[in-house]
Amino acid sequence: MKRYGFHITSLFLITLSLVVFLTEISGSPVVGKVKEVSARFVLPVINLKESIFIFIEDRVSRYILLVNLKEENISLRRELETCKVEEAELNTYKRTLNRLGKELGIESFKSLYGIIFSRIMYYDPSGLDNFVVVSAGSRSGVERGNIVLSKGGVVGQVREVYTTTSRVITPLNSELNLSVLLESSGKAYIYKGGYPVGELLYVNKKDKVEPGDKVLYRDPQGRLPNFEVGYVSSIEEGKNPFFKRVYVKPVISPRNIELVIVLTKGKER
Amino acid sequence: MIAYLVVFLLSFIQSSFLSPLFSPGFLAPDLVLAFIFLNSMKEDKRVIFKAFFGGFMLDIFHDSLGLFMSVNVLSAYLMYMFYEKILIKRLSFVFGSLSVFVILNYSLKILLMNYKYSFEVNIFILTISVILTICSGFVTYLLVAKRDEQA
Repeated sequence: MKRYGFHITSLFLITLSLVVFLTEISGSPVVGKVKEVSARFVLPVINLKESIFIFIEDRVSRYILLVNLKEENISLRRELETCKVEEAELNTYKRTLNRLGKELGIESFKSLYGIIFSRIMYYDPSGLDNFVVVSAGSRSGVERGNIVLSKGGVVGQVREVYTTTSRVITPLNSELNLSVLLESSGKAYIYKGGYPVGELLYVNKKDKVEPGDKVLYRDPQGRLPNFEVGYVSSIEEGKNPFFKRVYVKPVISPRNIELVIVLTKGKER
Repeated sequence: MIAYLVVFLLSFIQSSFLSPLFSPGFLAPDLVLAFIFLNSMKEDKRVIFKAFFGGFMLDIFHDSLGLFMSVNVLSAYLMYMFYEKILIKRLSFVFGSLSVFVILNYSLKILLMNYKYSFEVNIFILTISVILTICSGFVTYLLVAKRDEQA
């Protein structure tokens, strides 16, 4: 090939390729036919390439998934170890309480609530997440009014109990009323559910409430710890001369959880 | 003829074994480019046809008609012109020039793809891919140079 021939050929091939790529000419019948014939010529190779491609892609994604699971497993093991240490600490307090109870002649300490592990079986099809159905019912010891938790937050309250399942209404449901307290002030209020935010009822205009304040569950009988319900999302002065409107964003989104804990009334654990 | 068979095999390996590991697939280590680099150093003018053929095969496998063809032929042309004028057989020179051509090749590919489609480039994957392409070209060069010396 002569020198100028080399330049012209190179230039021609580059221009041709660029035109084919940048314009929609590759979709034209002529180029499409060339492409089709070429593809047919190497069809077994393309099929082989596709199967190898899918195989490798599948193996790589499985490997990445396994690595992620391994990391999650390590993190969960750490959490478990921390929980075990905390459990040992709590058992020490329990023993001290029992000893003090004996010395003072008070009935020995018993667990104030039972724990039932369950799984969410069904979500609210309306999309408003007003309720969930969990796979634990009266056979497991679930009762109406039991509190349902996940990740340390309140998922809702058991409203209807069946033999093997229960219907739990969430903080996004307007039928839910909970006794709560504000972490910042320690003052008790009533939480009324709502979508997309719930509301604290009868908050005095003089009460100090700030957006972001944590709203905690308050067991009227004092049996259960203060689990998080949500946080204050916004405050409005409203028309009522005595009370302001405090909106609460629930901390748990039912769609993001699968496993839950149902807290039942006190039994010896 | 053997050279074209090698180009075909390299494009097959590149698109089936390396593309799934690098996303988007056209940024996988370019074995065909490494082969073009070796041919350009031999000052063989037919390198543009090999580059065109390799690009065409890659385009068929990646369903991106024109992308690899244009970038590979342009790279082959520039490499040939460069090594025809300046060829110092020092490893640092070969490594440096190869690195420049590989970076240029990848930049052109990204530029062209970005013109037509919208996609995100993972800098880490791109860097690994460029390094692997440079390494494959350089190691092959060293092997060929050693074989030539022994001959």
